[in-house]
Amino acid sequence: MTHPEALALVVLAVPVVLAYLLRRRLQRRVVSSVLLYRALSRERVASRRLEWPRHLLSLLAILGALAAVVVALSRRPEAGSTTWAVLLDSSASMGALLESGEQTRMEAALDELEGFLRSRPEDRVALISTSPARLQVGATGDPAQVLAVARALVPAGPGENELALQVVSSLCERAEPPTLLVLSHDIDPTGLGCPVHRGRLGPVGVNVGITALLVREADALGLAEIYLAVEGDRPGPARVELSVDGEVVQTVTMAGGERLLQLALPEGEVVSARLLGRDALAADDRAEASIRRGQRVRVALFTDRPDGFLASALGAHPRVDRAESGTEVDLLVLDGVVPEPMPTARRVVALGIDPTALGLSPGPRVRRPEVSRWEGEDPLLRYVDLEGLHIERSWVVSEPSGGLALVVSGAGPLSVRAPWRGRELAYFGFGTHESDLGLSIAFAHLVANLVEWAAPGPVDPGAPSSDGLLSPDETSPEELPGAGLPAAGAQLGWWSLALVALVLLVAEWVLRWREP
Amino acid sequence: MQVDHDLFQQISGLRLAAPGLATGPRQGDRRSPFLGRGMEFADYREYRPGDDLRLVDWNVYGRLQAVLVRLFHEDRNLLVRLVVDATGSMGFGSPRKLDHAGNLAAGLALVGLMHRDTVSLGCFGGQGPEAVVTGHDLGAFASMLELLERVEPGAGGEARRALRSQVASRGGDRVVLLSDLLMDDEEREGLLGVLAACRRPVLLHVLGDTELQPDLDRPRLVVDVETGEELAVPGGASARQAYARFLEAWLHDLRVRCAALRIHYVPAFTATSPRDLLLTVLRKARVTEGSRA
Repeated sequence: MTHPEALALVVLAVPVVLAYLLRRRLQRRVVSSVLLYRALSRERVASRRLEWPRHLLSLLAILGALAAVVVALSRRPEAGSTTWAVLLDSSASMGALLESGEQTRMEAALDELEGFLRSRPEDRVALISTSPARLQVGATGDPAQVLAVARALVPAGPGENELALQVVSSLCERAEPPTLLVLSHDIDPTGLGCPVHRGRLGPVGVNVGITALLVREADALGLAEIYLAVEGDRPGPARVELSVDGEVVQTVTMAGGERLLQLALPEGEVVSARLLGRDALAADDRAEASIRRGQRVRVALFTDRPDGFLASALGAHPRVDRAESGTEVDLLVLDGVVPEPMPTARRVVALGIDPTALGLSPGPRVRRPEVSRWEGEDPLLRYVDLEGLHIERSWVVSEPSGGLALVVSGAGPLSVRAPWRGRELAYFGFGTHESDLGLSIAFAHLVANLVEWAAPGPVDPGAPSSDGLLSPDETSPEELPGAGLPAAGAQLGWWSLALVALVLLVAEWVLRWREP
Repeated sequence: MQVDHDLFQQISGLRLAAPGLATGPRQGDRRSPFLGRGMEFADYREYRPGDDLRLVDWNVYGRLQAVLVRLFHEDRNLLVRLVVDATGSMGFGSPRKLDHAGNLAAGLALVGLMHRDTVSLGCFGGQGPEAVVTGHDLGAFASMLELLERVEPGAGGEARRALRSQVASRGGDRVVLLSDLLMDDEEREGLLGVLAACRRPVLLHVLGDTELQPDLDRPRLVVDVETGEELAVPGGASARQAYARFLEAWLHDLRVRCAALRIHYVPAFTATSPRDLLLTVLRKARVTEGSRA
């Protein structure tokens, strides 16, 4: 309601009702005789049965007219033109088929928009899309332009709702904020400084979608881990077809939820998952993830045990190139030895070295410390199980600022990761020969993690990858509740209601004053 | 009640019309059915003891030796009974119907008294005495005016009974009823029946503007002043048209009924002044006539 003051007219109903009640009490007049009036009364007797309902109809007609006037006034457009900001969801989920199966959400939204623009030819309208989040059309009085740009938008990609709302918010902060019209099923525009109307797009049909596809190397031998998640409102299991560069690898049956697969993937670049079967939204039935292959890593090892576990493990790693001192390397491993000068490297791993030699905060060297906890989520300790690890001796080091304690004992941190002299340092207070770490599978994982950590380039093959997935909100067929388009849209216009009021008043006049 | 005294001077040249024989109790100038002393010879008959010897025609006795007395047509005055309806319904209109009827009755009484007719004037249904004033000369006119001025509209009553008590038992050569006849059908029919039983009855129908052009601009609840009956009636042009149609039909039926009962119906509506009525309308209707005196 753009004219809440019109409600004040409701008080007019009080005198109307009073007038109705008073009018029913006819004025008395004493006459010489009712003889001559009896004929009129006889004519009236025939209609007296209808007198009460006619009175009531008269009252209802007046009250109806009053209500129509009130509503008409409340829907009367403001003087002059109004500026509207139309936030049109152009994400992939808008391509979902509605329950009727005849049109998509986007088509329904465009129909709503067209009707809205037709009903407000005098207003200025700006158009903001969500995928990409952009001001597509600035405030213009040309509805055809707005509609043409809106029709050119193709539902695709994840919606950048937050960014789009920021665009809208900037418009709402203007001196004359526009009125926001949201044409989306999942954008919640609350909290903005503009008055908001929400178009109704209608519910979509049954939908199942892939909400997660993550691929990463499980080991250096081609084994990959695929994390797959499927959500939807269709009962029964969903079948997902996995392929690499278009070649089907495996078909997986999932009863919803998530699943972690370990597969030996063939050579290829992209893993695709395709949901078999038809549903409302095709955009979320397919997901792709790039296979990230690790690059080769140049490693310089300084150790006093050239034939130790560490040298053997690095030597066995297929992606490690041993480098000589004096050259620039990706990973510098200091196993009990601090070389001078220090080779150039982005990553440095130090094991069993006095922390003072590295400039770290000094700590005691303890015997047989017990590991109380470790950062299993850190990339360096992924899959590294230190449960039951025996350590003969270890330096205790203080946790530096900006760093992270990787392994902690009752005496303090035994391992930290921190920026160090322009490098990234991973410090272990114990050497490989000072514990039984080298005898466990955890050691192999640790070495593999170190290599991945030091791998050049932004790509982290250990991190899962996924491309172009829709958010679960977009996959959901549910629609946020909305108040519908503003009254000047497809509903009765204010002038129509005013016409209704006029017709009711004429009807009341016929009822009351044209009676015989 | 107000009486227009000036009127009566202008109507002094009138007298009551008497199409039949007069039966008034006094000698007058109107032919009566009686034979007795008079100016116009009528017949002879044999002398009976006790007859006035002055009526014996001695010339016949001398020639035929028969004692015969002369009979003459006897001239009597007119016995007129004026009855005014003073019920509540007569208190409406502008001027009031009762005032209008009183003026007419006084005028007719004056006309009759000036010509030595025996005039009986009475009212019924009004507030005040239901007295009847009778006279045969102008000396009674003041009493009649006093009676009329004392009467105010009453609450109603049984017009038929009142009329019968005033006219039926006393007879009369001409009975003039001044009434609006606004009563229920049975009462009105009975009243007309009593009137019809009189000799040469005249009905001066008195209606006012409240009956002829009532205010029907809006729906009202009308209340009968005599019976208290209430009726809700509509208003507007269509109501006025319907009322006019009904009034016309009612008056037409009344005329037809009066004609059937040999009642001389004369409309005496208040829209026409008493002067015009006495001087023009009633004369044309042969209720009055020009004086031959």
